[in-house]
Amino acid sequence: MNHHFLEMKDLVVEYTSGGSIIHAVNGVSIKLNSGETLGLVGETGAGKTTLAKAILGILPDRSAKVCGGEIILDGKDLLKLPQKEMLRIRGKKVSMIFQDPMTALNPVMTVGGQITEAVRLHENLDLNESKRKTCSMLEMVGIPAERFNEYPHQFSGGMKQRVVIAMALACNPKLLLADEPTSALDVTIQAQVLEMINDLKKQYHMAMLLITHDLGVVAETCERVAIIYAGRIVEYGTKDMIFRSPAHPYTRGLFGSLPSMNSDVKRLSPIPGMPPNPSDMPDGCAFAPRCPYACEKCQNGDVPLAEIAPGHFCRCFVEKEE
Amino acid sequence: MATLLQVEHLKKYFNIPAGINHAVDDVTFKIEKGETMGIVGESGCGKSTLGRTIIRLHDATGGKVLLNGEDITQAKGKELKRLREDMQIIFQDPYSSLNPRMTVEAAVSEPLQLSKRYNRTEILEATERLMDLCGVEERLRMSYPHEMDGGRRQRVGIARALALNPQFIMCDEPVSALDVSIQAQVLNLLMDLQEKLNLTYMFVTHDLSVVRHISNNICVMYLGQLVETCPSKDLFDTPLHPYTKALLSAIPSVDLDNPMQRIMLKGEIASPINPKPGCRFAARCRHATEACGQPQKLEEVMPNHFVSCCRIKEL
Amino acid sequence: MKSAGNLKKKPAGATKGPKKKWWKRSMFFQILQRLSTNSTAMFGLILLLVISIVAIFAPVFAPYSPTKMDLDYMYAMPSLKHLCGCDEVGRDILSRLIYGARYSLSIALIADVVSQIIGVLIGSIIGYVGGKIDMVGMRIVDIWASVPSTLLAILISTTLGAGYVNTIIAMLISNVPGGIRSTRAMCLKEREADYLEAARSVNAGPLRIMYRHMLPNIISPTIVGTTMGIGSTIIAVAGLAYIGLGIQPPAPEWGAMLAAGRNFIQKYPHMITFPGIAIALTVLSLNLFGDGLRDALDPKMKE
Repeated sequence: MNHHFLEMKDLVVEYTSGGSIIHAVNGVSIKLNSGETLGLVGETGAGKTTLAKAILGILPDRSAKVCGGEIILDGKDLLKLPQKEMLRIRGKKVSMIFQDPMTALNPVMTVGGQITEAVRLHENLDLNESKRKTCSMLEMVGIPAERFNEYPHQFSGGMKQRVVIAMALACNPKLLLADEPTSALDVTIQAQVLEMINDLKKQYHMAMLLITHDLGVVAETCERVAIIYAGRIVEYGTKDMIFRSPAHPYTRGLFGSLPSMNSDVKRLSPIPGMPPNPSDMPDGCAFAPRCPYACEKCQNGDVPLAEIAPGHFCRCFVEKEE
Repeated sequence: MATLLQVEHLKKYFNIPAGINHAVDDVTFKIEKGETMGIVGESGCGKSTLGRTIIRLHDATGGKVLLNGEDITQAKGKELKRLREDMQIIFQDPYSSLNPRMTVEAAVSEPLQLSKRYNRTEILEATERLMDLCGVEERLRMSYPHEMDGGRRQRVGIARALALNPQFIMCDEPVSALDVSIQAQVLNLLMDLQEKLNLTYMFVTHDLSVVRHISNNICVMYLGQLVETCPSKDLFDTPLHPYTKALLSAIPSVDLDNPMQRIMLKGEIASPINPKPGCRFAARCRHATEACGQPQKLEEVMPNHFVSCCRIKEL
Repeated sequence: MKSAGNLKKKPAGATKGPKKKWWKRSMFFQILQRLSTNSTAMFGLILLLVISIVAIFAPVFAPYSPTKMDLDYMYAMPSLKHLCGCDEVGRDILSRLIYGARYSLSIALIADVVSQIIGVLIGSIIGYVGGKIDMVGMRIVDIWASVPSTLLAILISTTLGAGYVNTIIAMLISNVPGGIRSTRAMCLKEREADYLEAARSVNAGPLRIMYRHMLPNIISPTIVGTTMGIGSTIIAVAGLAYIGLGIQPPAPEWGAMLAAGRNFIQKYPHMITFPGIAIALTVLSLNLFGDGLRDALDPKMKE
């Protein structure tokens, strides 16, 4: 029944760096419906941003290459589209919010000018109509329209991020890629921005891919969650499944290493060791060197993503005590 | 337990073209030996400036800081050098806090060299010991910072801070720039070191969940003013100041069964430049009245629980 | 570190690095490595080395003495006997070029390097200390730099007189303000860095902070600038000689040779062509090398 709005199948993205080849994304498949938010959780280097950039087609030409898989958006494979078509999709159907609001805005253009530029590129509006649309976008994100002609340095971090969001939403995209949209913001501002994103998502019936390392943010905004480690999805399911019964040892490790505000744990239980060096991946399961449940079998060959409960997938076959 | 550090009405103002930036305005608290005081607040609240003023990287504009009973705000020259050995700092950004052109070993041994009290062998041994203590692997000791990841660099930063055997360490957001799984490792290390070496920490951070774990007491700051201070558990169980309540409610929770009731703050953070007298949170506070325009005082509302709010008794 | 489960012993996800010799991992060695992969830079370097060796061992390479006049061969065109022809009094141009390299290279090297050193020393103090020293110092530098450098060099040469040492002094004086300014600019940016505060907190004095910590981290643009600056100094020295200041004949300085040949461009073009080529080649090699050096020094450390 489900015609997924976004379907990614076995995506593989390679980076060549100094002669060695690194698989930043190593066979990732995800599905996203309109109006739904998928949280993509992982640490630095896990491949989350690469994934988002691959969808948008903005991977650095020289060093990165998509060498496998499909990204099907509303029936069309984005990887097979010519540049001209991608230009029409980028910003209009698919939009991205980047991580650092401090550098995402052009310092020598007014904020109004930047949003208007995005509007004019994609909509057939004349200058005045574009400006009006821009003003309404600014109001929607909580910025008085009088600030149209101000420059980014005159805004605080939270407001800059709101401008970035206004730019991303200016053309009513159907899919929003948000790369750590609130990591650089203060907690109270983060709360405001997340609430705003949620409202806008409902208003526009947007699909959203939310990339973050913060499980709290995921709990507040996502319906489904995918955990990514070393370029592969290691666990995937609804928010309830992942939060109430995390199956993969890495997911459990993430929850276990979180300091909690509500209890007095004497010592945190961090995941031992370090994330793997992408150019020097261990054989078999990438998490095995750090896994408390690892066994001989884990080092031999790829571990497949198995459905351990309806809709709940896990890339681990070790029997764990509950 | 002895009081190691006492801060009294500390002020730090900066002169900038736009006026006077009241970065730290009349802050008072004390830290007992061997304990950790968490300083929380959002960006621009002055917590970093507070920390740096206390350890004399900035000179205070007013007020006093007493270390072991001695006023250190006016110390100069040799005395200041001696004091610096007792108070060290761990920086937030592991990428910029180490000299990119110095090996990690040189960075850790530098404080020892500068103190001129040790010969070469002693310095080498001490450096080895410090690196062992902080979990820096032997094969990395002659590396340069750019060859190591954030977590390891931060361990080097900690080893450097311990070199001179300080009593007090100012930790300026030491784990904020690290990945979640590495954060936990470094926090555990800090807590272990505190136990082993009887260190006293001032832990500055914006992350409330982290601060609960590591602190005995917490101070909440807003725009340079201290609004609430109490033991950690009390802050989370019974927050009193309206800002504290809003701050706690804003944190996204991983507990699906107990979602947070958000207290939404209206408006934006005011500017600390040439501020009006009185409570600086009043502009965003739902309970603000005329009286909030008067300078506020820190009052003990519950045992050991101080709040700076004139309306606290009614709320 | 606790070993994971029942696994065979493998380093727990740690980043492995082959055990390299310590000096091999130093910044210096890495810079050399990066440089060696850049072919244009290596070409520039080799060309530079060739020119330098020829200049140093001039008596070996030069077929004739640079000052020996042979009036039978006045204005002689290039031939097998005189590969670059002869000048107006029959001196072999090739030999004069070879000996002339000594002048151009040595003057430019000394003047440029010394002026940069002075510039860095003064600029770092002004930049790091700031305040009143900065205000006063920069006003002096502003006045100093407001005189066009060529004009300044001419003024100084006229005052001090021509000659080897005086030319060096003239070049020095006109190059220093640039060095001070660029070093100061970099200091202003770098002085907020955390690692400098860390050094302060462990009781490092201001001198140590400036020269042991800050300077090594801001020196790269200066090194590149020095390399490229040698090129422009060579041209400036040639310019001085061209107008009759700087190095005086019969010294075989390239600019002087250009000057001597300027009236004969149509009749005896070899008199200015070859000195011109010599200058161009030398400056080209310096620029290519300097460019490559800039790329090699640029730390692309964060992948």
